[in-house]
Amino acid sequence: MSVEMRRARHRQMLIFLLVFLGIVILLGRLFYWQVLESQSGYNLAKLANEEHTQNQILNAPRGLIYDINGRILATNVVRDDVYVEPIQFSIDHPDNTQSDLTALINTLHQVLPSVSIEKLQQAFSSGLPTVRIAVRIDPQQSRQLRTLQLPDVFLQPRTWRTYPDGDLAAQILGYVTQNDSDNSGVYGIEGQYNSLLAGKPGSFTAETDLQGNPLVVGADDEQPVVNGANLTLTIDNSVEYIVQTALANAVKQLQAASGTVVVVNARTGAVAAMAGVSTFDPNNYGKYAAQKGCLNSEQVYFNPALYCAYEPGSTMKIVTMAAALDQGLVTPDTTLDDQGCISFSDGTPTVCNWQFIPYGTETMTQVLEHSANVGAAYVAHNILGPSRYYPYLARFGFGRATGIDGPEDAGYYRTPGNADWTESDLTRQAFGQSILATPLQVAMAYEAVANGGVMMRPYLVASINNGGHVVTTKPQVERRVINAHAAQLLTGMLEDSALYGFAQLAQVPGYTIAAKTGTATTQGISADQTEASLAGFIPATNPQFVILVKLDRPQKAIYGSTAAAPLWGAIAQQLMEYYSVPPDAH
Amino acid sequence: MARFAIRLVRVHSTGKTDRNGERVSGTRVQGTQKMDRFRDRKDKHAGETRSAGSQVHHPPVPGVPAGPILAAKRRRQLHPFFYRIGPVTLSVSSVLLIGLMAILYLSQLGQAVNSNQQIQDLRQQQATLQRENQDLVNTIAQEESPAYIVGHARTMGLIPADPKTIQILVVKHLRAIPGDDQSIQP
Repeated sequence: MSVEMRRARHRQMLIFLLVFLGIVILLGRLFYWQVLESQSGYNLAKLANEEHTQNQILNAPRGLIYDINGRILATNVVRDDVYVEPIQFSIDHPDNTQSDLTALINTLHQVLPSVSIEKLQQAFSSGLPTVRIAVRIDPQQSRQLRTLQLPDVFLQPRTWRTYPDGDLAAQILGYVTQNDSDNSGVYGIEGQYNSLLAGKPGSFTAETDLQGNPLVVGADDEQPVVNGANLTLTIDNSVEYIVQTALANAVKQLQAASGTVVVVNARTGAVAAMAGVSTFDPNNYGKYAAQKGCLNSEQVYFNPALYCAYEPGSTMKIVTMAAALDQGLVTPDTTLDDQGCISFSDGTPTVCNWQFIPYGTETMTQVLEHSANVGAAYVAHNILGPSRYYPYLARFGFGRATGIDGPEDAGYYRTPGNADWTESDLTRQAFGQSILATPLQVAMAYEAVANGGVMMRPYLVASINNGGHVVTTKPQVERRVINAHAAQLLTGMLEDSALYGFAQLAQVPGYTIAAKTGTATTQGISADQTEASLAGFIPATNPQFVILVKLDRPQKAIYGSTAAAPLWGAIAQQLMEYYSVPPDAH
Repeated sequence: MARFAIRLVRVHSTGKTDRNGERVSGTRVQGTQKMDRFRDRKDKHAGETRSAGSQVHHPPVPGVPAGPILAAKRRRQLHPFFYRIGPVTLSVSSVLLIGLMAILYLSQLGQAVNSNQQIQDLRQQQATLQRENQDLVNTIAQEESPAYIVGHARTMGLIPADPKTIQILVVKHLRAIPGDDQSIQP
């Protein structure tokens, strides 16, 4: 090879080596950045993923609540909140900022007249990246804003719980808090079944494009959403409306402080209606935070049928009679001498009838007709005694929760086991004083009598539909309280009480009823501040519904017979017509 | 030397060759220029001269089976391509092929992106329709509520029935009518 050739070959080799060295260096740097620095140091992989990978939380739609006929009681709607971006606006409009801002504010005010111009100006001068200027705007306003496509203004959709019937069954349903951070059920069914109704949110992780839309072609990872379960309640919203309206009218007419009505299916224990006055609108629950119910003892959000324990008064006399009848100690025709008051040889305080009226020789049936305290105290003290009376109070469910869906007050009464119990408690409890019971407890006591002596467990939720899997509540026997014969005898006594006693104003044309009035006073409070009530079932020959009405401190009529009875009759009549129950009166 | 020479032979359409791989029946075997040069050098050494177009009888190579099978076998071993292809052609073909693959890939990617956009649009539509559906459900529920119906009835001039005016007529020994009796339909 010639010298020139050799030199050329050497130059070639040198150039090749230099190029090779450059490539090696580049590969080395590539390895450094692509492998070493991507996972540690600058953690470039993580930064890149954060740049173009998005993790979205998918909210689970809250389950709906239906009435027994499938009508919606609680549902969800999506409404937009309106946000503006003040800082971005300043960046986008470096020139003519004020004139552009004025135009934008005027346009926004035209679409959202409830948002004042001053508030908009304040929002844009806040110096914040985003400011919310309106919450839950109308769909029409949303459409207008979307069409206008205003710069630096965006809409954020949010799901809201809505109750199409307003305040109907509000205290049964409860409400859902609507905060930025927390949407959970409070009170009532919404609170009791919150975890079922809420479902489980999911998530979606995927690569996104420039606008943040997830890419189909990229890798993705999805945790599916679990939708909230749908609940069907036992209440009928038409019956609930009838009851709630009648109660509201009665409270207003009688100038009562409050009132409660409970309607229960006599055979199954399913609650057909439950109403309280005062109540609230769950669509605007915040407005009622300062309002009280249960004679100012509880917030208005509490269901008074479950929480407002009261002294039931004479409606409790059926428990005294039931205990004596069940044990065969009396019959409806057993008599006593009622001189208007009764004294006891053991020093138990004297018990007197209302207005000290003496009834002379009266049967047990007449004790209920006359609502004679003397007769009730006589049976409890002289015939039953504590050992044969208190077990029946327990069997009728007093002093303990009924087991209905949701928290409730258990009520209270003293027993011989309590240190401060006296014989006076026994005689007074016989006619419904010295004992606290909720309206539902009293209603269920009457349900046991109506159902042949068998008490059913009350329930509000008829079925739960969880992702297509439906669980139906079956009526559940709580226990046998009294035998069927005693129940039949007691029903007859209550029928006479309704026909000839103080419950006459509760009569429903064409139907037999079995009912007992109650007028309770509270110690330490004036005797004209009563709790007037009436409990019973209809039709007496084939009971379908148990109804309890209670009016707290009615002013225009203060007794169960005059205040509660007409309301009871009106509700009972409408129930019979609504359900087309055949008349049974002859 | 002949054993190691690459012998590129183009055979005419009739396909008949003799045992040396040369066409028979008057066909001419054409070699590459390299082969010709090699042949010229060989012939020159052997004292022979040859002009193009004349048939040549090659002496048999010891240890190598002769015949058309051999030629075919050699062609398969030493010349895997069905046709001749030079480096320029190969480069251009490669570029074209890579370009085609790139176009196909980009086309598919474009379709995927397009589909992605369509999916986004459909999801947006779905969300909008779901929202409208929820609003309609809510509206229906409101208009089915007893309070709404009563309010509407009142605006139409209806008044609640007075329960006191209801009369119950008791018909003695009345029996229920079994099933639907068409004869008493109004």
